[in-house]
Amino acid sequence: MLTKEMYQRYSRQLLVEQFDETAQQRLHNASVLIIGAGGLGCAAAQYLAGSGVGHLLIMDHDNVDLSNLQRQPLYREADVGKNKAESAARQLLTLNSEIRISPLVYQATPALLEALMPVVDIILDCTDNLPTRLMINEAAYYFDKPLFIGAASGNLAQFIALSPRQRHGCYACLYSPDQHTGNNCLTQGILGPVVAIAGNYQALAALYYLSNINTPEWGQLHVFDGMKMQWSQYAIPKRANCSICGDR
Amino acid sequence: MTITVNGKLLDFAEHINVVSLLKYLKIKPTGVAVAINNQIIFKDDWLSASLNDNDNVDVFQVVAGG
Ligand SMILES: [Zn+2]
Repeated sequence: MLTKEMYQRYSRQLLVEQFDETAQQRLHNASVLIIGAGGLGCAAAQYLAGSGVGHLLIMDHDNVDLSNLQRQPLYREADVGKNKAESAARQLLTLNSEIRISPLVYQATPALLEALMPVVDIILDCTDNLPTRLMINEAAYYFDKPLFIGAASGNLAQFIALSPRQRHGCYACLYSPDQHTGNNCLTQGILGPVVAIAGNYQALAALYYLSNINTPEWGQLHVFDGMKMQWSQYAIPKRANCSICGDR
Repeated sequence: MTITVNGKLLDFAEHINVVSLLKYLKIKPTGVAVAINNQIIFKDDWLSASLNDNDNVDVFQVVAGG
């Protein structure tokens, strides 16, 4: 049952044809682990909080830097030097105090992921490097949790929705560890709207999945080129010998 | 044999694989991903992935930042 205030707060999404009270209730009951509170995490978290996802767990061990404000809209000048997860949680609660937000001031490790996986429904990979992404992929597959991956650098954004229950390949079937180039926002720069596009894709796919009003297109790499204003899409086949998803 | 690479038509006299294509294009293999006919080819399979007439190849950057 939604309260009168909830009806009012979520009225505009309840007006969307496929979205109803049951969908809203599903969001309210959902827990989402957002790993990384940079450009991707900020974009995704604010829309998931606004939409009424019941519990957001936001993990980031980093502090806000002045150079983050250009593309990480959850932070204010006063947050510079403060932890990102805690600053993001504070800001998100001013947007929606009806939901739970757990800031996790840690760096992702296999042991930490192992402890968190059982209590969340889905994971948003909002991190910034290939080794961490491969670690999250392994944990998501081990614990059978859908994984929504965003990535961005320069003028490029990428998005992938992975379901351990589907027959497509996983992140380790897409990129090999030695394809790590170290290209990140420090070397290649990043435009705010480009990283937000990837984060919003993550939020939208999560919203569809959690409310059960639409099925994400699993196992597809979506690639956005800002210079061309164009998306391309590629299937990720399962590798027969993949150590993460191969035996499924 | 004609293949399309990132939207451009290229002609080859003999059969090539992904590794030789990247070499021909003078693209360093580190940090790039390859898809043939909109299907990802994992890096370990680049040598065995031979290209056929009318194949559509995309070479693009691996993106892992955020
Ligand atoms: Zn795999």
